[in-house]
Formats: sequence, C-alpha cells, structure tokens
Amino acid sequence: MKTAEGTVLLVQESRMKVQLDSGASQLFIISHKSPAEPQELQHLQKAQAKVRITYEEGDRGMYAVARRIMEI
Amino acid sequence: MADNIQTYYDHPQLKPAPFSWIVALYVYLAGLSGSSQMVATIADLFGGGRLRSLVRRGRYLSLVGTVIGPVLLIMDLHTPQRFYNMLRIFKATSPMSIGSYILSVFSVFSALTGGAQFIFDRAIRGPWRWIARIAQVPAAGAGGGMSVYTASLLASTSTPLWAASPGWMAVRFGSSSVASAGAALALGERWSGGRGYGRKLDALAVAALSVELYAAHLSQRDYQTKGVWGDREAAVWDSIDALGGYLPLALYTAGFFLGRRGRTLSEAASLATLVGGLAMRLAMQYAGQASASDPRTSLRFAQPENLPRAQS
Amino acid sequence: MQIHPRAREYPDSQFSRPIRDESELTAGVKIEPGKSYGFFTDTTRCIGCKACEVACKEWNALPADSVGLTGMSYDNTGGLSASTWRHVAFIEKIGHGGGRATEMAPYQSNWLMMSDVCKHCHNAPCLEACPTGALFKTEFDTVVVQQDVCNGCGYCVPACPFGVIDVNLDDGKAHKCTLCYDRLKGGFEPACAKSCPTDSIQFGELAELHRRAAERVQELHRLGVESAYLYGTPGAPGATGGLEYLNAFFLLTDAPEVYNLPRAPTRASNRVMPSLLSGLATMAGFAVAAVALFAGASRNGR
Ligand code: SF4
Ligand code: SF4
Repeated sequence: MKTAEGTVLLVQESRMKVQLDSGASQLFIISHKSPAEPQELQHLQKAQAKVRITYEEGDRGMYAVARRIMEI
Repeated sequence: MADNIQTYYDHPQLKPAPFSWIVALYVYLAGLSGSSQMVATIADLFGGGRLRSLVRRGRYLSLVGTVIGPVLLIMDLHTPQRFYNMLRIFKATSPMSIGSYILSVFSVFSALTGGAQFIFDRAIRGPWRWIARIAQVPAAGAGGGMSVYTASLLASTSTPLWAASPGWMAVRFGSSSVASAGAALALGERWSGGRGYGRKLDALAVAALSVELYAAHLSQRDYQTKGVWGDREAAVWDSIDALGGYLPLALYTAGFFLGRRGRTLSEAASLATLVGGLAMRLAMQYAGQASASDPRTSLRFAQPENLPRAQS
Repeated sequence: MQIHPRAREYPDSQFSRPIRDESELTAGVKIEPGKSYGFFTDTTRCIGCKACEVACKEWNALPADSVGLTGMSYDNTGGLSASTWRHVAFIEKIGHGGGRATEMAPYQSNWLMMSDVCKHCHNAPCLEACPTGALFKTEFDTVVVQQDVCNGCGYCVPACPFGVIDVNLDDGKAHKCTLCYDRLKGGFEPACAKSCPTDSIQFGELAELHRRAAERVQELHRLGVESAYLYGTPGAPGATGGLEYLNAFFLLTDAPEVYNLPRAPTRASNRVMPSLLSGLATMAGFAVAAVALFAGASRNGR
C-alpha cells in the first residue's frame, strides 16, 4: 500500500482525478473495500480539497485503486 | 442458418456474466435444500406419521440452503456491503429480484420449521411440532421456487446457451434438484441405519433423473437448431449426462435387482446423483459464459430465425 | 449550416462561465426533462479520429483499459467496457476476398468505421434485470446506473444483448455510457457528439433524429450507396425481440455482424415467465408424484 498527497481536480462516479504534489496527475478509482462512498467525494471536488490517499496500483487498467482518502 | 457468420476480428460480442463458481454452488444448494423441504413437507402431510425420521432429516437438510445460501449470494456481489439493496424494490422482469424474495421467504419459514423441529427433538414442551407443521407449508412452496428460479435467472439473459432453451433448462434444474434431495435423504436413511424408506426415495430419484435426462435431450435439440451447439458442447453435455444421469440410473437399477445386497450400489447411485447435480450446474455456468465470449456463437444465436415467433 | 441566432450573443473566444442551454448552439436542440433524447451515429461520416473516445474519457474521468496494441486494424481499444463508453470500430474492406480492389464504392468503401456506444434501449434488458433499481430511466429517456445504489451483483452484464455494460472489479459497480446525464442536466450536448468533427455522432430529440436518419438513408441511396440502412429504429435490425427501438441508433452499410452488432437481439425478460412457469410446473408434478409415493407408504404400513 502506498500513499500520495495532492489536490482533487475532478470526481465522476467512483473515479477521482488528483493533481499530485509531485506535479503529475493521477486517476484513482475508489475501491469497494474503502469506507468512503463515492457520493461523499463530491464535496472534495467542489472544495478542490487537498487529500492524502492510501492506494494500490491497479492491474486492470491505467489507474490506481484508492483504499483510504483523508482530507488534509 | 447463417453458418459463415462474419465477426469483428473475433472480438467477443457479449460480456460473460461476472459470476464465479460460488453462483453454481448456490444454484445447486438452493435446489437441494428447496426440494428437501418440499419432500419433507409432503412426507409429513401425507405419510401418515410414519416418516418422522425422513421428515426431520429433510427439514435439517433444507437449513443448508437457508444458512449458506444467502452467504454465498452476498459473497458473489462485487459490493457485498450493499446486499440489502436487493430488497429495496421488487421487479417481476428480474429473476434475480424474484429470487431474492423467494430466498427470503424460504429462509424465514425453513428456519422456523427447522428450529421448531430442533427444539421438539430436545423434548422441550411447547407447540413446536405444530409450529413446524404450519411453517413447513410456505417453506415447501418457496422450496419449489428455490429449485427452479435459478434456471429462470440464467435463461433471462442474453447469454446464448442459457437463453436458447429457457423452459427445458428449468425442467432440468427442477428435476435435478428433486433427484438430489431424494438421493441425499436416501443416504441419510441408510447411513443412520433406518430400514424403511430408502427404496421410496430411490424411486423418486429415478423418476427425477429420467425426467432430467429427457429434458436435457430436448434442450440439446434447441441448442442445435439455435446454433449454440458445437463439438465442445457435445462433449461436455455427453459427459454430464453420463455422470449425473446414466451412471446413477444404472446403479439404482442394479441395486434394486440385487435387493438387500444391493445397498452399496444404491448408496453409490445416490452419491453419483449428488455429484452429477453439482457438475451439471457448474457445466451450465461455465459453458454459458464461454458461449457469451464466443462471437460466432452469439452472433449466430442473434439471427432473426431464432426470434420468438410473435415478435419477429 | 445555419448559425443559431443566439450564437451572436457570444462573440468572445473565451468564456468565464458556461453558456446557458449551450446545446442549442452546438446541437440545435434545447434539452428539457420529459423529452426523449438519443444519438444517431451515421457511420458513413465517421473518419475514425476517435475524438469521441477521448472526449468521453476526459469528461467522465475514465481510465484507459490498456496501452497495448491489439494487432488488428487500427482499433487498439477493442470494445466497450466499464471504462470505455465510446469505441470506434475499424473494419478493413479493401482486398477482402483475396483479390486486390480495382474500384471503390463511394463513402467509406475500404474502411468501415463506427463509433459504438450503449444503445439506451427503449425496453432496456440491463434495466429490467437490475434487482436493486440502480439502473433507471432518466427524465431524458436514457438509461443510467445510480452508483450509490448498485451493489455489483453483475446481473445486468449478461442481460445486455449488445455486450455493453460491465462491472469494474476494483470499485465493484456496474458502469456504462450515461449519455452524459450530468451534462444534459446542465444543458450541454454529450461530450462525444460535441467533439465529433464530422457530425457522424448526432445528438438530439429522438423523433427529429429518426427523421434526419431516414432522409440520410434516402440521400445515400440516391448517391449510389444502396447498402445504407438503419440499425435500431422501430422495425429495423437491432430493434427486434421486444426491444422496440434503441435511443442510440446507427446508419450502417454492411451486415450488422461486421460491426460486431447482433442482427436480431432479444429482450431477456421475455424468458422470465416461460422458464419460471415450466420450472414450477415440473415441481408441481414431482410434488404429486411424492404424494402418491408417500401416501402409498402409509397405506402399505411400511
Ligand atoms: S445497450 Fe445494453 S447497457 Fe445499453 S441500455 Fe441496452 S441493455 Fe442496457
Ligand atoms: S451490477 Fe448494479 S446496475 Fe448491474 S444489475 Fe447489479 S445492481 Fe443493477
């Protein structure tokens, strides 16, 4: 499990585009094992919130699988 | 029949159901426990009180589906924590929805029946026997549904193999469930040293297996005319028929003619029936998924001559 | 093409806020709840640029399925999936049947290209199968998965006769084209249709699209493309077996199978009652047999 920090740019369904602090942009899909429900993410987009994400690399597509999202 | 179907670079045209073996196991156990409940209830109501041990075992066996069934179904959801959304609405167009309610009714009443039987067996005073006798009726009705709704579940999809013979698949699932229940209860009777009703249950299993084989034959005719039949399918179904149909039938017959000495053969027949039932559900699921992934099969199946007549 | 009178109100090249009812300017249609909307995908106009695929991925924040090459034609997408909601199919026709082509019919004669999408079926099998009610018909007559309801049972996947909807195993929910439900609510044309440079993808009210499509078929027939026909309009291939019609329909010039489309799909729910009733009849039969068997048991005193 890895962690990354960044700013939420865009939320669609359970997908979240995040501008990482490293400068790159990364697409996350919220895991069904995550306690966060996708509909709770909307406010992160509105606030362009800074978040810390615990994630795994996905092996089913070009995205990472987020397991925990914390607003910072 | 368009045999030289063009495909799009052989890319699949349909998506296979994202079901694992857990679903096939559920289908099997739902049939086994649903039919056991039905057989036990009929034995209780019409057996003149002489089939108590059979009734008891049937009620306990039906608890298998009640306890494990929902667990298996929830395990196969991809977002399991939201399982309760199944009971949010009812949809008559969705056997998955119909089945959720059949399973709920079955679970409640067969748990009640089995629970009351359990307390009664402990010789605790109370109206337990009557509770079981009343609760078993809705449980048996729902048990009949449990035995066959799973066929409707598979048939009401676009997966070619499942959709090609909806009626006969349901007959097959139902008769296989009855055969499994008969076989399991006969084993219970013999293994617990009971002398009585093994033969009656064998007879039920033989009748059910014969119907199953006949329905399998008719569904294969549908598969052939609708173009979802190939060498691979033929090989699979021939072995399933042999393992779960002809083998137990032969063993039952031999066991019958050998009389008392044929007991081992009858037990072997019961075991073959049980294994065959599970193998048939697994084969149906995996062969169906393979038929969906094969564009030649799915495009051939979706030809105008296969449309229901009123709607073409 | 005529310029919409409202367009003159927006002479700037940069906008600080969204344009009200923008679709009126880009697609010539005002989006209002209660009306029927859809796509008319005219494959004779498709140039295979995949702008629709990209626009869809960008707007909906959808990941690529892979970065590999399929090794077939120019199609490295393969097909629709939980994260690919527009897919451009490429069918190479030239040299088909061995010989080298010496003449060429008009319009997309050596490459057929088609932007595939969820058909937003009128009687949608996915929706009819969904046990949770996650799949629903929106106020724009389109079919959408409510992500907060879907429990990932996966039953919609085999129900779809077009192989469109799929479950993403990481988030455990079903996904497919929403016909840009969020954009429609904001008065915007769907992203794919807006980005299509040749208007191969047209968004609009269904009745108007049907009219336009019929006209286009006639025009093509006049121009010598006799193979042109519609797929998914009432009575046409693709709208069979109780589906009635598809809100996203196509103009094709070859057999449906060539585009990986079923010629005569059916509505899966047709089969619910036949199978359920034959099953229950079977069980009733066995119940009677069991009664006979056990009643016999009591009479024989065994
Ligand atoms: S094409 Fe498939 S996913 Fe789309 S509405 Fe029809 S059945 Fe549903
Ligand atoms: S996976 Fe979701 S959308 Fe599909 S049928 Fe199940 S609950 Fe409905």
